[in-house]
Amino acid sequence: MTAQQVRVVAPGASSFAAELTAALEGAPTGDCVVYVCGDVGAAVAGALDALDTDEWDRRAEQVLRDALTALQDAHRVLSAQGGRVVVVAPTVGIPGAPGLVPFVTAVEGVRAMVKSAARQWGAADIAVNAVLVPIELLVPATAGTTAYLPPPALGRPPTVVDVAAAVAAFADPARDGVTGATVVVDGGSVMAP
Amino acid sequence: MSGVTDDLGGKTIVVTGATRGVGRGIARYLAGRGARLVVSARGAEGLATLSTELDELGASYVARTADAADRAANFALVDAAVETFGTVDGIVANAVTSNPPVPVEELTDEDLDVPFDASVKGTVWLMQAAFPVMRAQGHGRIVTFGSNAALNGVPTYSAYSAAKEAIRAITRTAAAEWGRHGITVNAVCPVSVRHHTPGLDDPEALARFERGFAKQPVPRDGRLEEDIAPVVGFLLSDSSAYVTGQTMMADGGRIMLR
Repeated sequence: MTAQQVRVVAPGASSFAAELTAALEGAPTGDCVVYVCGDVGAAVAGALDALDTDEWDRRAEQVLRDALTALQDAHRVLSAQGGRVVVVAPTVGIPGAPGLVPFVTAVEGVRAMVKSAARQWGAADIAVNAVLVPIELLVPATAGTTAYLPPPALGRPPTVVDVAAAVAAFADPARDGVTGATVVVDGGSVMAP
Repeated sequence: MSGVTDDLGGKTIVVTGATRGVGRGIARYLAGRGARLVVSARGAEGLATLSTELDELGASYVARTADAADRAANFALVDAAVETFGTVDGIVANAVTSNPPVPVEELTDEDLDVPFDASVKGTVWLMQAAFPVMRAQGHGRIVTFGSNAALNGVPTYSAYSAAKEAIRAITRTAAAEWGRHGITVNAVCPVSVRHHTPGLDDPEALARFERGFAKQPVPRDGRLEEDIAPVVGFLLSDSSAYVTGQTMMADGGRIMLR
């Protein structure tokens, strides 16, 4: 990467990634790779008792492999000069989501990957952080699957600009002491712990 | 980026416990970014020193002595912000007082009262003082402080830790109550030990801290203005408009809260 670039990587993601890229245009950031964990093909509701191994591979293993590949690629392009990695993922990994067991399991796996990568790469000046957003923002077809969650305290649905602002904050070298962190951009729905 | 920035220029921020450590770093950081400040501390001498620093930074500010445990004093800080600058956009409830560490079995009423009066009640009083102004204008940013000592558990720090976790609980509750008014409430858990930990003139203690830092992803102590304050700055800015009820670690990745 050349200096001051942001690269958004989003295998299988919806139009969210394109909107995020546009919203980040002109943001004051350093070198940064943004990975969007929102594969519309994986976030498909299904009954846990009927889950077979093929479906597990498609909706959990593939999500983890995609994230692993993205982090490895990010390390490759950032290792020379350091930089930031921001993983955008749905909040459902924290409270769980009925019907989305493989995807939710993978999402929490990706967050574990973020934290482990942060611990491995911190000394190389590569910070790795996660921004969590409501799943329906990433995969609109999942609307309603998190109806059990409290409504956002801020009383309005999220926008891509809300997410871009948080991503840009983590992409800013001024906050290079922050790594392995998760910030939830959901208007105050999921606050635990 | 659609006009959303972390620009703090012209915002009016109240910072308590502003003359030492984390609070001083935040005050200097905010001043350097054009925020208008009301800074407070118990001691006039510390405020005089900070005032000199803020003058050198060309800051617009009001300095007031205030005991964080005094409800009226917290309301007076917000009054000063409104009288001087016309509003209050954000508060940084940083003031903390604690007794020397003691084992749980020896805790006294006073051991518990000191941190709960200054830290927990002080945070609530300042939040209450700012709330009517923020509600009326339809926006506000509130930043409170937890502690990694409270998250992990550190021997002899039970009173301080209990107070800090109570603050995080109040933070989430206020976030849930006040979100509909456009007010966000978030906590920061900072790590920076050099400025306040007794015994750092002791080579053994210093070596022990250094060994701990070396194990962090970012292998050094937290720098007040460069590492801690920018996290607070994000939570005071328009960039965090949709972030509320959260705890952000400013600890070089030491804990990774969740």
